[in-house]
Amino acid sequence: MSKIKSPLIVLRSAFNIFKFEHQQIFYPFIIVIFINSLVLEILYFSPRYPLSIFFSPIISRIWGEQYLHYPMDLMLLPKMFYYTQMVISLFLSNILIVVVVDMVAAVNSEKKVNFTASLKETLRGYIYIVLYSSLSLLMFQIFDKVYSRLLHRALKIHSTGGTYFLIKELVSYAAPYVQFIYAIFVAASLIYIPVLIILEKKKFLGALIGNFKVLFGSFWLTLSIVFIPTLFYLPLLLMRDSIGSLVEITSPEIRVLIIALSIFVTTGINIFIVAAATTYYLYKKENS
Amino acid sequence: MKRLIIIFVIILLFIYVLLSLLSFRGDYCAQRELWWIDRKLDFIASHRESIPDYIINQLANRYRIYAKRYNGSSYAQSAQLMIGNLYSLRNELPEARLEYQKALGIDKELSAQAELAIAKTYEAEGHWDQALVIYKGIIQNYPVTTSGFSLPLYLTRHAVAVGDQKAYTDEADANALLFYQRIAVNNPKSKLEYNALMMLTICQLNQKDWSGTVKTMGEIMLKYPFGKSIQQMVRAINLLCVTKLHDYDMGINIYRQFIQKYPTHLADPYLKKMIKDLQVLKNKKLIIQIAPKGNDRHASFTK
Repeated sequence: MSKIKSPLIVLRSAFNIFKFEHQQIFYPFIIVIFINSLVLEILYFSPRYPLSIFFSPIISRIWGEQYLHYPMDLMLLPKMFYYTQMVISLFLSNILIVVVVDMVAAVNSEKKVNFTASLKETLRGYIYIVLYSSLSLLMFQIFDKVYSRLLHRALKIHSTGGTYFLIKELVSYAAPYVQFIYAIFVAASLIYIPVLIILEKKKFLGALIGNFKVLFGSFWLTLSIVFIPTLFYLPLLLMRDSIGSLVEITSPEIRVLIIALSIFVTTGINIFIVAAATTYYLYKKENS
Repeated sequence: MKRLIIIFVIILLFIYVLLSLLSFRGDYCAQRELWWIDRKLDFIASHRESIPDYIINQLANRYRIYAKRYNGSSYAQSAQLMIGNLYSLRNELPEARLEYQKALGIDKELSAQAELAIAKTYEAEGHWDQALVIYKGIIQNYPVTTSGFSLPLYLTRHAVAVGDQKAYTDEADANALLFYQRIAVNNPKSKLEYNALMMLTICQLNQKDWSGTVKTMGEIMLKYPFGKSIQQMVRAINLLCVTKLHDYDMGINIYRQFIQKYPTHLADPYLKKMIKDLQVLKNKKLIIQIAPKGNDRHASFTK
């Protein structure tokens, strides 16, 4: 029995699963991208006729009338998409992503990959997966709240030099990257829950306890499994960070393009991470 | 898998084309088109010296085509206003006036802007009398537009080249006071009333009517108890009561009325402290005066 020491081995094994011979393993990726693109398209057209009939009262009531006009509507679009995506992820996208767990297990046991069968299998644990998604979201929101408080406190520092000033600068400029780091931490801490729900048919609480058992002794490896693919998101983060100057030199529509690009990248990363975690879990199980 | 991708792409494209067609030439498209032309105008305005005239003409033509396409709409009015601005930019003021005239239309805000621009061209040419007639017309016809609302105050600050400057300023001050008082009375419990009261305080400050200013500020505090406005008002009331009026009771009474009207307001502890501080100053019979600029000490205390 050998123990995996490098996350790259797990990632390589997971990468090998996504081959053209297992075409159906790409279905969750394609469907999630389609759903999110459809939502983006609808939100993009929301201030215009005929969708404005439904959306205009909502937008003007929540954010103000000015966001119904060009180019202000495009400034609101990322926010609107974020909230909508949160709901969709909770009830739909995450289920589709978790389907990959069953498909990876099928590849591992040299069975035929069948999307419909795997989806049926996943839907049995629908409630538990929704609970898992809610817990991830809750943890992320808690971290977000804590960091917002820290940021708020840092912005109150009046010093223009010295240690306190450095702290203020660090806390405010690092905000998007800190968010990126705790998102990785949350994902890594709960990554085996869907794997256990699907493969071991565990209920939510059992899967949660089992998750920490798997994590015990392999936390850093799991964190690396999540961290390395997530690095592909960094260019997008940089683009989002400099969106103002990008809009200045191109057009306000660049915001839509960045959202569209982030749909592809985040879906790909999420699916790959789930596949890598499943691969590692199966390996650990086989060797225990 | 290929079939699935093709189906999804077709669905997305179909929806995109359908929604684009349905919203074609609608308000949103008009806004977007105008924004892009305005962006070019912004660029020209900030690089005026290095931009050849034919580029400005090209832009004016783009505005004309746009105004023709959306004829009768407020967007066309806006485009017409921009054509006028282009002529103003080239200092061709009579031509600019003709274009501004065309911008008068259904939208009151834009019409007021167009008339204001016409008046400004007269002012730039030194024809103050003609400009003044138009300014007064804007105040009369468009009192609650951005241009019409700010004009009475603008007129108080205008220096008259000929004639009696004091007589002119006094009349403009009185007119502005009346105007903002009327707006405040006619639009109770509205943003307009709040803005009118704020403008009123500026007019009163300009006239050195300290007592009137404090009363109006007190009225604003009591009618619009919002955080930022309270902070501003309290600072100004304290300053005026202590350094100009030497009447601490005026401030104390306003704060007491506020606490009585809003007993659970977040600002109450702060106001209670203010009352206490003003009472200390009152009991010590201190008179604080702001020294003129340039002095080393900015405040002097006399007992």
